[in-house]
Amino acid sequence: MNDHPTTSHRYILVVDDDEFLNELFCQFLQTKGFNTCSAYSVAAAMQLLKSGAEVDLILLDYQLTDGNGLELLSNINNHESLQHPPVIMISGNEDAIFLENCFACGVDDYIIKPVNLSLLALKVAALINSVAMQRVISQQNAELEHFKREAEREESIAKFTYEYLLRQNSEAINGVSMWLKSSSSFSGDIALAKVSPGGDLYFLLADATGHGLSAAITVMPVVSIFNSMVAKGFHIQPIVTEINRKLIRDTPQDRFVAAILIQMHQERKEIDVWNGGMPTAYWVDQGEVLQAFRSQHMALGILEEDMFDANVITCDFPGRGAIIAYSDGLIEEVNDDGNSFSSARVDELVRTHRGNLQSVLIEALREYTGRDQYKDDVSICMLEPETIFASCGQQLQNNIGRGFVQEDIGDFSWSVKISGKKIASCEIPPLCNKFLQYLGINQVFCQIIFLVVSEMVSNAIDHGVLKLESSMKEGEGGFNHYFNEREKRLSRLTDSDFIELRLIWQESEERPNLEVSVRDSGDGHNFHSAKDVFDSDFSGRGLKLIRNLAQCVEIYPPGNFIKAIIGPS
Amino acid sequence: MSNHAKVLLPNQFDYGYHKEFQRQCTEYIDDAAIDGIVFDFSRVEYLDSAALGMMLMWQRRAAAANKKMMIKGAKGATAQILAMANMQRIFEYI
Repeated sequence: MNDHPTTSHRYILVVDDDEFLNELFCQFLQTKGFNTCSAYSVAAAMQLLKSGAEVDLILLDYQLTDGNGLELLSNINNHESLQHPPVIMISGNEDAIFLENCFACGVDDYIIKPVNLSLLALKVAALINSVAMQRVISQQNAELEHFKREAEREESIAKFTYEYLLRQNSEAINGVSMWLKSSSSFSGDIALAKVSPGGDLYFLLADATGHGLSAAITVMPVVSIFNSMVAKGFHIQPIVTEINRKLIRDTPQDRFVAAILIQMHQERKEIDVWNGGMPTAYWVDQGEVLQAFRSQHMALGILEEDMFDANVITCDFPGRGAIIAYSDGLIEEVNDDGNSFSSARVDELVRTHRGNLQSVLIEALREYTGRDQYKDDVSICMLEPETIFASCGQQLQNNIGRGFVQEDIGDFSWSVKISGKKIASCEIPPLCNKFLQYLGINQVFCQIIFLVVSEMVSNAIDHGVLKLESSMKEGEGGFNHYFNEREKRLSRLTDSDFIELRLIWQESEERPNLEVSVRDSGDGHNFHSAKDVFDSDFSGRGLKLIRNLAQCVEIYPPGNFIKAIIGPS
Repeated sequence: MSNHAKVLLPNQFDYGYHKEFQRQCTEYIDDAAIDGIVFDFSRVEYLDSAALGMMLMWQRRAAAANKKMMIKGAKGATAQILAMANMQRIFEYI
């Protein structure tokens, strides 16, 4: 024990006015591996302590020339700034009251004169060890306290982030009832509902891995992508594709998000569901399960883009019932016997109960566990399509009544003219699409505009600028011949060749429309060969598509200028 | 048992995709073990008549090899454009 490696770092202050004894203690303690220093009076000891000398233990003789040991102790205690090393008192007095008094004054141990040196060594070592241990414990306590505060701080950031996301991104909608019971810390559940400009309802229930800040960080991109893509009218297929891509790219590999997304199409009265890793959602009417939406996909953020499957389940709205979706917190919550609520129990409740299924499940969980605080987040959401279609439809009518299907964009025009060799490399349709998306044009309308612009531009390049004939594509190998010739002519473009696209957006009183026109440097090409759509003639099929999508199409002589007017559906 | 191969179409399905489209269609038509090809439109946001042309051209070749071609996952404007081109007449929707 005396060879404990820590002894050599320990300093013992020996306070005794008997120089001989003082020296004896010092030498003995040094043989045991301690460092020592001596003081022969209360005043000298105080001075030494005040000088900041390192002292791990004081060996203190009771009777000193300028006072006694207890006076030294009370002097030390009166100085807040001084360290308070443990003290072993040496005295010949064995009186019980005297000893009690010493301990009350802060003496840690006591040795009776004449001093038994080996007993002294044991007591010193034991006291020093126990003090060292206490120091470690109090240091660890301080660190724990620090980590706890840090964790609480992070927890409050997570909570704040989560609540912020909810406030910013979710709408209260008739027919959508969301019940979320957070565990003491945020554990990753989030439910959002939003109506698109076209009057479709979008619903998202997601459950991120982990809890606290790490869950909040994973959930953040999910919420922001959902929010912005719904606002632009994207379908849920591109939305889940984009969320997955973002999570793969920007979050650690072990972080992912189970989610169920539901889109209710106002116009077609259709419902699309994508379920990746969430428990089975039910469409149920009075105990009759009309459809069970099992998880068909892996959670978001797991599969690379080429493996990811965005396909939804589509069903027609039968005009009754409600959809119930919940997180695994519901089925995994355990009762006092350690048994989980289980999906079998949910299935049974869904099939046997009438009335408000959401309340039934909430009540069943409370009864089953005997609690209303749960260890994981528990979310139970109910969507009533009939009410939703009615309220979203009303909202859509109000918007149209005010003149616009989407937010006010304001009149604008945009044109681009490209000449020479750049015609070969400049992709005008995606460029144009980026601009329209930037302005906030609804995605479905963007898709239609993209098609119209693509057709007009490729017609203008192929048949106008490059003067290619569609008939070249006919026959065996005609296709390849056509495209080889196209490449050849593209490489011979000169600065007098050009193509010009112009868009003019007008927000008339009724509804906005877009005028798309394309002019090229060619001599004008024959648009009259618009044959059947099954014909392999591209220009014919392209023009037919434009005519189907546009309110009107005009071609101006000599045929190098085409103009179409399209309006949002 | 039918054995279908899947062609996962890109976000922008137009002439720029024709090489990859051709590669996959050729592979699946030549593969005797495969009796049908599914075009997965779940990612497609933009398409044009060149894409429709490619599909029709390869549909003829598939039919000549006694193989079915199917469309899956087309939504929104993409579904609208496919319907406008009467694709449902020669492609089965699954």
